Amino acid sequence: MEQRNAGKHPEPPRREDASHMEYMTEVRNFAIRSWFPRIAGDVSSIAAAAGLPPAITRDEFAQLAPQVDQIPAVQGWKRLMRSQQQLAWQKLQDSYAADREYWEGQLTEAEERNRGRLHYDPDFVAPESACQDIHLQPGGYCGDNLAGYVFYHGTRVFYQGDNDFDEIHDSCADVMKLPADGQVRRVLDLGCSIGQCTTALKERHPDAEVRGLDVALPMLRYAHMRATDMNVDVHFHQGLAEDLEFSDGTFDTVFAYILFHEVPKHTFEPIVREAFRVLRPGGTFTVIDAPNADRLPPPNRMWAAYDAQYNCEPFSPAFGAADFTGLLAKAGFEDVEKGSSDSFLYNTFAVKPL
Amino acid sequence: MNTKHDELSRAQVESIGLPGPGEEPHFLPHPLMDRLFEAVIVLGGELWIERDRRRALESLLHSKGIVAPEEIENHSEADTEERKQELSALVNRLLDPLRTMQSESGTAAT
Ligand SMILES: C[S@@+](CC[C@H](N)C(=O)[O-])C[C@H]1O[C@@H](n2cnc3c(N)ncnc32)[C@H](O)[C@@H]1O
Repeated sequence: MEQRNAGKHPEPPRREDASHMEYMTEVRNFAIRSWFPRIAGDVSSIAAAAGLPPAITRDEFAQLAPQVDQIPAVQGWKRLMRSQQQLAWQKLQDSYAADREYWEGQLTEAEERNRGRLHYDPDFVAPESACQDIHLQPGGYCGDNLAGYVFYHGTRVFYQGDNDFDEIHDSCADVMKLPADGQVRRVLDLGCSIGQCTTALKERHPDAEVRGLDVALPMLRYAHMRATDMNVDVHFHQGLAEDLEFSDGTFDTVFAYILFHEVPKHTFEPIVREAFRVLRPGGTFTVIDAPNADRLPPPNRMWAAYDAQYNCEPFSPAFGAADFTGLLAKAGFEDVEKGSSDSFLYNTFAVKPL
Repeated sequence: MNTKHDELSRAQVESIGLPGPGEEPHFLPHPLMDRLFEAVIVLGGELWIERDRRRALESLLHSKGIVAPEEIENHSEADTEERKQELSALVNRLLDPLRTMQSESGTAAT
């Protein structure tokens, strides 16, 4: 099926890659919708037997973990989750690598076709934190020139087929909080990856100048090619969210979708400060990310612990534990509110005072 | 980027206890069981890829009036070198995880 928002390379290289992704999506669905609910009861019972409340902290779960890990169905669930993820990435990566020159050429060709929209310094060196194999993608976001292609298809599996038309990115762009005066001339998408929110934001604010920023060049090159193919005029910048190149008061609104849980905790504050600085008075900041929740139901805790350690999300637990709204207030933001969310993610909104 | 930043993030990564580079944890009681589990997932993937392709092919052949499903059922093909290689690659992909298990003991997941 043609992916509406995928640019001109909507499908992976071979029919068999598409079949394999379809299979992996089904395996993931099974692990999440069929297997996980069955172990959830056992995990909750262990917590209840230990006298714990219905929602527990990370430390409380750590006490239970040895017992939980004895449950055969928990062991199998973890194996299934990890192998599914590893095998899906590996096949995609091998497929693209088999015709590396062609796929790299496509990125370069887009840069030549649409100049002045991709901004990077060839000497930029990404920090170590951005070079983890996040979600087990081999080489992570920065390690392979073709990482953007692989990420695009790999995340289609991750979203279990619910994002084949960027539905999730579209709905994120829809919830972005607008400045009270309604003026949206410049928009910044922090940690934009392959630019799916960036283009969704531009489609909603066609007269605005929309810029995506990310640390990883392979993601940005793919983002740029995709936006070029889609004929959506946006800019992409390589840089660090905690050290923005833009001058004070540049943007009417700043947006960050699932960036924060993937950065080290010492950068939360600098990133928030930078967002504040580059916003104009009355500008808004929208953050959609993993829950900042001290306490979660025991099965969710188990999943979060699995994710951090075995799905390579090492920074995520610290974000979960952070007082993020407090951090926003400390940076000077007002009207900090946790909005409702229809997914498991939290929407947080803040306004720079006039 | 400065080393201070890298040091802080490294400390945070270390506190999580990620498996080291090239290190594969086992969740089931013995590493061999993890490998077998993975082999089954691989096998399912290979099976689906082939089924999906065959369905496409058979349906094309049928709809173009070239080959009826019964003819496929009764056809026998001469062995080609390429076909043998494909089979050997399949067996490799499937059994390699088990072979790997023989050479590493694996790391017990905590
Ligand atoms: C989960 S992805 C974000 C997904 C994306 N917003 C989307 O719409 O799908 C996290 C991104 O943050 C980027 N990143 C990590 N650390 C960063 C930093 N310090 N500054 C900017 N981007 C960063 C990564 O390269 C990665 O592309």
